[in-house]
Amino acid sequence: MTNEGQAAVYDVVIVGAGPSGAVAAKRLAEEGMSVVCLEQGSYPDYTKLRHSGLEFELTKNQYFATNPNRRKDPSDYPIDVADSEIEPLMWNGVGGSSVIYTAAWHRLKPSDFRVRTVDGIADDWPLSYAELEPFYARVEQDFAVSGVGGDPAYPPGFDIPLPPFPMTAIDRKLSAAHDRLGWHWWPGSNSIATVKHNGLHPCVRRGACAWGCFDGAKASVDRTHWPVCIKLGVKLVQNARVLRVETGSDGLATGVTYIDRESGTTHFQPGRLVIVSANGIGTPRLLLNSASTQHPHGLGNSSGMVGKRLMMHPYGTVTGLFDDFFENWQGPYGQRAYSLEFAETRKDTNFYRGAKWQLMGMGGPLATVGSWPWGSGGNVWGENFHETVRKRFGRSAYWGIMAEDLPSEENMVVLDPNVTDAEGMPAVKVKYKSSQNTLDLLDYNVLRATESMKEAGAYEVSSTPPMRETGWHILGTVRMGNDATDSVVDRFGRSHDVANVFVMDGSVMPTSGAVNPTGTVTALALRNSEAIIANRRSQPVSQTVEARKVGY
Amino acid sequence: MTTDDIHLLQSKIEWVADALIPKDRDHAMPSASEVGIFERLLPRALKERDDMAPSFFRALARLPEDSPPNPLEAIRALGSDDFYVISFLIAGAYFLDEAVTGKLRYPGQEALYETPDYDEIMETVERVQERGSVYLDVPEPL
Repeated sequence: MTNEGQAAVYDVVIVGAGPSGAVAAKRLAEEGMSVVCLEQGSYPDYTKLRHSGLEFELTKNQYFATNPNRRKDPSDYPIDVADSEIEPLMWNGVGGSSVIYTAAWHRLKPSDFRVRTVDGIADDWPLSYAELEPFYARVEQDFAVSGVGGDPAYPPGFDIPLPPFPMTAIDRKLSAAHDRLGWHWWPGSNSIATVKHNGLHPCVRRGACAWGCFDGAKASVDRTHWPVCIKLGVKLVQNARVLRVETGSDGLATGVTYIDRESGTTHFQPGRLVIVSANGIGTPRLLLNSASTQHPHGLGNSSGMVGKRLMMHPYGTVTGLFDDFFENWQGPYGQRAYSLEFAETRKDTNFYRGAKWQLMGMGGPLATVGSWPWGSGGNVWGENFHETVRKRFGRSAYWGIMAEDLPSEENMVVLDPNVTDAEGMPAVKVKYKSSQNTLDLLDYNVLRATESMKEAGAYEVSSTPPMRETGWHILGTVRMGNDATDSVVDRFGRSHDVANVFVMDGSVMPTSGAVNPTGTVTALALRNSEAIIANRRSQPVSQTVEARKVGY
Repeated sequence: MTTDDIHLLQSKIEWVADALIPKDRDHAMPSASEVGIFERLLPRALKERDDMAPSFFRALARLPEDSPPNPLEAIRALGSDDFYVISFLIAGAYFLDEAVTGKLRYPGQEALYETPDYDEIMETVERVQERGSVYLDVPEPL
């Protein structure tokens, strides 16, 4: 039974209160547009964190687990990963996956926007690095990005607004090693405040970034954006599972239907335009579930590309053991440093594109006998236990190898015909297999990273194959492009088929780059929100909604 | 079986815990039972991870009361999921002991208030900058 009541017609209905949804809500509300955001979860409960005591390692994966299939919060939905080599990770609540990201912050490189032109494979983006650059700079302020500007892996102009973290012993070892090897190395850029900024406290390097920031230093948008959005008048509806984007007889969107997960009641929220920001799995899920007579294969899916070309940055690790004892368990967890030496296509390799390496925190003693980042092989128990802990705790470091993922239509998100979530909405199946290019790329980078660790003084180096629970970056499933026959949205994130539906999240990325994508998806959200503002007078709107607004 | 009934399982918990974490004289590290895994640490761990406690007791129920000839193999024979639950909670409990973490020089995840040595950072990155650019120069599209 639908309880339509007299819901107000908003200028903009946003689905999802994660980074892109928050950036869009803030910018549109600043211009006086009325905005309502529907979020399937609620605010994170930071009182559940136990990060300051010895309970940290035991409890970190309880409430703030990154894998929704393990977390099984009522806001989560089932994801069938039986046919996927990588499991997607996400946070379904206010803040989106910024609540659990490690906050490593990057821009794409200029060549990432021109992969077809440069390498003859995949696709060019319908915009360039230069077009996105000013928006990168603005979101970097809002997200309190800290680090060191002037990285020669980028064109001049990538300035970092906040100062860097201190160098630690392992930073010194690896930077000196890369000096000798002649390879790139740079202090980590992170959306973590190192000084008080935008409502954030200075980071105290607790090293728990990936499980909810205890100290209020990491730029998750529940902290950086939503308080401002609320002050600007944005209405945030929590625990609202959006089932469908509805369309009128004119083919344009009229709003969304959602279920209040607490009361179980169904509502229709009308709006003049709809922005879907539900991540690379949630967004195609919603569009596919919004099929209608006019849109029989899903909303905006005349190209057949909704859900296809899933990219997830396959990830391996290279771990070194050292003789000396140094602090390796404190933060920032996500990246103390990185290397982009091998991030683009080289003439001396048998694969296209490349990988980013990130130097990450190792965790405490319990992590030394776990599978991350060591892999699941090896016998660490019984008579090997204490020697394993001694060798690994305080005497190890690892490079995380993040491979650029090239798009393939075989990798996809589809609706599950047999399983629904608690609200009766179809769940999803993920089909994903790494390409031979990816495997060759990872093999090469693992060999080079092994050289790096050895040059830094590691007496033993080990590596893992691509790891399974590493799908932090869910990209490509609602491809952006100029051609409506092979892409879903245009260069401003507007649906080719439904002119008042926009998509703002990582699903629009035509290629993945080799770096963490939050900087890019939020810069796109800001740019595309400003396009909505600039075009607001010519924006097509469903007459069904206009009539309702006048009547209301 | 619940955490309240743990007193019924002392002998089983101690052989399981010591099979996973035995005494190590070379590193002067105590076994799990020596640090009070049964009396003190495991009840605390199970209280912290009450979500894992039912799985823990179910897995434990499949093991014999007394230590078998090859105890570690007996625990592994439970399968990877049950082995993970048991080993994670036993090791997690072991590392709740401050004497153990003290021997390892692990103070927990501390709040650190440090001022970076900006001169050191700049000297380091300037060496990288001197090696030149590390990106493909791509012309803007027409």
